Amino acid sequence: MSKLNIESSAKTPLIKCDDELGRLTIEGRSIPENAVDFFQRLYDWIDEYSKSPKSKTEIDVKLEYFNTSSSKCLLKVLKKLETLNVESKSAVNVNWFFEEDDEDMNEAGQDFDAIISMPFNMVEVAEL
Amino acid sequence: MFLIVIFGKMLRLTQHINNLTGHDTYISFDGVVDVEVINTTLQTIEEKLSDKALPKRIKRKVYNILVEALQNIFHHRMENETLDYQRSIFSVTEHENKFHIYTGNYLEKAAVDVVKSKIDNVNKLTKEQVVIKYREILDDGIVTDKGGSGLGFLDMFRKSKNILGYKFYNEETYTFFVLHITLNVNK
Repeated sequence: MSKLNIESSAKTPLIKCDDELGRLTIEGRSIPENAVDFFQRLYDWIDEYSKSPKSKTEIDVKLEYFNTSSSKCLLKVLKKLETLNVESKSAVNVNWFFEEDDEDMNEAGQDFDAIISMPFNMVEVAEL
Repeated sequence: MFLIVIFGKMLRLTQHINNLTGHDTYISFDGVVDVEVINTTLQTIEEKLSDKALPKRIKRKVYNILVEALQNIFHHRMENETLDYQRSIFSVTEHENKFHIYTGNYLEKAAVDVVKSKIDNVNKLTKEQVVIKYREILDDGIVTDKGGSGLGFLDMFRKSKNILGYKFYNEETYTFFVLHITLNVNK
């Protein structure tokens, strides 16, 4: 098992996954034309991590922008983690960060929270 | 909603901009929309918005809606056609506390009814219904080969909080489809 570190770009987020800490971070903006290609490495990492996860897993999502192509990929990421949680392999916590006046990011968090069945913390901050 | 754009085949963008009398034009484009055009446009719009004394949430909405609108054109461009039919137009303008985003691109004539009914169905939704529909499509897991999510019109409608305007201009072989998104600065 290895860590996954993907640097951010103008259209893709920073991704940091640490198997030893059981911690994942998605940060920045995710607006590529085809998000599936970008998120594949994260799917692969989670699949590998799921074979031997930590007892607790934490994911921080701190996105400034994301497009609808990315929204379906993000949901797939969360569903993979949800499986870990449902199968009691790891207690997964989602931390969804959004800026206090960003109603769209707030609503997006609520959308994911409504679909996913695991602890989902909406974290309002002054600035991301 | 009535669209004021009337396109002559060769004067689409010029005519369109001339019709937006009194608008502050942030960006306008006529040509083939590829990834590079999208990147440059997003960078330009972000720079222009950053200079404006507008609420941050409005700047974010304009940027986000533009991303969807441009990627919508990109995903549905007439790839196998001559450059003339791959051409699209778009513009972002501000006028009397409203942002106007227009996009225009060619469609197969057979696609017109599908697109029209998609937009009509979105425009009919209440605030609560749009959330339910959005979550339903988000959860279907379907992404096209090009990365399309099926959420574009819903997303633009939800974020702009205004009905989506549209017009179809029939030409000989294809139909030119114009989409108009309005965003109220104070809403």
